[in-house]
Amino acid sequence: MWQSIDGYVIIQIKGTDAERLLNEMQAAGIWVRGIRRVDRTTLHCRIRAGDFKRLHRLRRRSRCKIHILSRSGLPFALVRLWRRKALCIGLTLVFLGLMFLSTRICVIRVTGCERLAEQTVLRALESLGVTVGRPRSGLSLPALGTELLAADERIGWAEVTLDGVILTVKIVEAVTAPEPIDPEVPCEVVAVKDGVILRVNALAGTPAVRAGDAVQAGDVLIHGDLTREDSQLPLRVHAYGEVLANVYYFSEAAVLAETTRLQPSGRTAPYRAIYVGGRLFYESECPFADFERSDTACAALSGTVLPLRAVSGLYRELTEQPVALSESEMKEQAAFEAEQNAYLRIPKDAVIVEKTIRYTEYNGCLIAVVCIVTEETIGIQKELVYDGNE
Amino acid sequence: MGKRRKKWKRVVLEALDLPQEADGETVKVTMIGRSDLLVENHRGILEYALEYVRLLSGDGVIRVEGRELMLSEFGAGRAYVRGNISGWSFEGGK
Repeated sequence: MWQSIDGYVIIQIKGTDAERLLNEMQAAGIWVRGIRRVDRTTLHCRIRAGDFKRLHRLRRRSRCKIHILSRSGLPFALVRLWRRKALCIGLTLVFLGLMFLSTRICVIRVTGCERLAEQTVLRALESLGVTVGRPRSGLSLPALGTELLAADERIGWAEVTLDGVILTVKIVEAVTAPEPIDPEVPCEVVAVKDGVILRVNALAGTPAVRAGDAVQAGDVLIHGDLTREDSQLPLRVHAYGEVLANVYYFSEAAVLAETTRLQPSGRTAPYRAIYVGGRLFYESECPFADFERSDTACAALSGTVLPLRAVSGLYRELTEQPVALSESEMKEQAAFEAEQNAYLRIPKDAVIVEKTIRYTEYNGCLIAVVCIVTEETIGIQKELVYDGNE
Repeated sequence: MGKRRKKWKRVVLEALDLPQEADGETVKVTMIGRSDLLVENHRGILEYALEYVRLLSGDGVIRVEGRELMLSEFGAGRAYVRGNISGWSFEGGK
């Protein structure tokens, strides 16, 4: 390897006294490698390019002829390369381009977004001066994470890491909770929605309902005012506890026997897009009003070395077309729509215990009525209002 | 004088627990398998052919025999012979 860096020449030594020349070279401190006998008077060997000039003086004494067979190594490669000016300039530009790009942020990735859109985080970063193309140096990652929290109240926690030219932002969304009432303030627990009580667990205050009672929104579940009728002094406490109830959610949806639906018409158009650093740089236009798109990512130029991704695919035109639904399809669609409407109102911590669906027909429409029964806590603290007779 | 000098050199090297070839004159031959042979402290090459190599040393002429022999390195008193080596020996006496 070192010989390649220094450069070497393969020479042919022709003469009857080649061994003498080899000894002269050894005495002169010239290292000879790869000596191979070709015939009785010819030798091939390899020496450093710099040592070849010294052979001229040694050759005369040994009466040998020396001929260069080939030249190899970095110095000769550089001379050959120097003659190709366009290649040298191109390589230099590519090298300078890579050096420049390696000092910039080329890709920004956002993870952890569920309800919050990624674009929101990217816009927040943009407002803080962090975009694709910004220099990597001078960026304080802990400070940037703190500034992101302040930029949007929906962000509960943010961590920013920089790995090479890729900036990764990990987000944990904030969970908004109701502001708790001061424990010194008297309050009672009221129902936030209608339901049938399953269990009352009063940790402070007295229960106002029992298991099996039907309550409506606003009804008191745990009393905080414990003043006795015959007592002159009011006794009010900060009532709290857990009240579990069955809550009934009703929802209905109607479906017609004949409906129109967006369906492929058969016409297609090519789709091309180029992403630079995760951002859309170019996208071909779609000639259709309604369409669906299928993508095939192009493997060339994709990856982490260069932030370029080329995507190709097809636009498929969709048009409203009449569709006749069978009875089972109507039932399925109606039940699905009714359930989705009901699920929108059911909180995440509710446990679904029962679901029933009933179907009726009216004026050619199939109507699905869904009843979903859940178990959930329905109590919420409410400050006691003083009546002024204190 | 030459012999006495060599004798004194040997005494000094033994006293210092150094190897004999450290004097730069005693030839050292190292053979690895049947394809590599290193001769150190030689004084030059006498003959080189595909079937044999003759090297001059302080202890006599060393003859290396074999087939398709090549000198992969030659310089500073070291000769590295490679090929299908059948054997080596000292030629004659001093």
